[in-house]
Amino acid sequence: MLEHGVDIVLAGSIAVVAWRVLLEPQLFRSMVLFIAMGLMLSLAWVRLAAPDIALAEAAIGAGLTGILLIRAAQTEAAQEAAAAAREAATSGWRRWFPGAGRIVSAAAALAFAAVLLVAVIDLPGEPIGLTEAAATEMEASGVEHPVTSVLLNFRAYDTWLEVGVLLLAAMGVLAIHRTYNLRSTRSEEHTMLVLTWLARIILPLAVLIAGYLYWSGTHQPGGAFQAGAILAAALVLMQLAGFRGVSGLSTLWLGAGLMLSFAAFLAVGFIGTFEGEFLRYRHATGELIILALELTIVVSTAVTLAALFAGAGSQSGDDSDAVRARTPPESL
Amino acid sequence: MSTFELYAALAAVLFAVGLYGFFVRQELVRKVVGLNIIGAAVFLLLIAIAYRNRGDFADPVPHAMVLTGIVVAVSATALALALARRIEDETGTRRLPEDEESS
Repeated sequence: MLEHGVDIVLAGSIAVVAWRVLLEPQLFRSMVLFIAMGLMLSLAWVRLAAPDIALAEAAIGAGLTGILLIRAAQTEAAQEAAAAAREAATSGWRRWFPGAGRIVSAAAALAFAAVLLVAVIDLPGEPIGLTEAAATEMEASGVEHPVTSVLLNFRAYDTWLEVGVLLLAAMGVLAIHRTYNLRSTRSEEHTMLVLTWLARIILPLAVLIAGYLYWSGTHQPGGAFQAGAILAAALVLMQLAGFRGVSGLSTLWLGAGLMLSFAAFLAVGFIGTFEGEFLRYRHATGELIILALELTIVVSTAVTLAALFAGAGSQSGDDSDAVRARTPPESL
Repeated sequence: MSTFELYAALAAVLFAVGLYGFFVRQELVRKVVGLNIIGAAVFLLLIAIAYRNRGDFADPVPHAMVLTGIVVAVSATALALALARRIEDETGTRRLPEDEESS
């Protein structure tokens, strides 16, 4: 009964924090609450026997998404006050109209939630998942951890396309900046000595932890995406501490880093077609192929996520002066 | 109420909260946050169902899907924020033109 109490408290807290994220008038505080919600969700994943997801959520969902959002909140903080004042000043029918819009929106959101609940209640009584199938086939996959065997063997096709989505997002950010590399992005102007010092200590540790997660993915929770996310976080920290990080890479090296994993999947798939099917490998070499592909995922995920951070926050060269004039840079 | 039902209900609540935020909030950054909450709700529902269908371990297929989803969500968020930033630079506002007119 006590165990169930933990779940009830956790679920209630997550719902309340999500609502606070939405209501908080100050953007920066809202983002901090969002990170807190991500960390609480990590606990929920652990409760639901999903340690892989908990690792990914803590590193990506709460960590990297959070720092992206905080950076967006920070650069726009100057406009915050003006926007809030304008919102308060709206009067007459305009004040009434957003009220009506809110009621319609709330009704639509609640209707969606109700449909979702009905669908869950309507689920067939017998469990109909793929747990059994995955358990019996796992031996042929080359690894001993079910999630890794699904990610990199049974559903390798999906993972390949996911790597493609990462590549597309990075290309999109580069296109928005109208550039081929991130050298023109603004580097941090206010760096703290403590941060530089911290980055020097954390960077080797992050490499060690990433290496461990990468290796442990073959037989226990962990894996390439979590390892890549940890490395990406280390690269972002480097950038915040004033080092160049990924934004120092030339077009060739940045492109190679972004494309490595997508190309590796394509190559493995193509070679596989001579033996049978595209991206199908169920023989003794399975583990080697999986480890090689995972290594490319680690590199590409780290470079891509760090590049997305570098590209999402700061400006390309020719615009930056105008922007700086409008919103003076602020330090935390 | 089982653990599965509890977290499935939480997923429905989070979905509603995120959707409401996405509809009502006009700042683009806040809309992105709303989308992220909706994403978390979908992930929660998938993992809760995986937990319901567990044998020796929880169903690994939804786990792999959610792992994929989390990585895709963060890259989509980064792209959306870069677009929002661009809109702000071009127009000087953090809202869409339609919202700007109605407020």
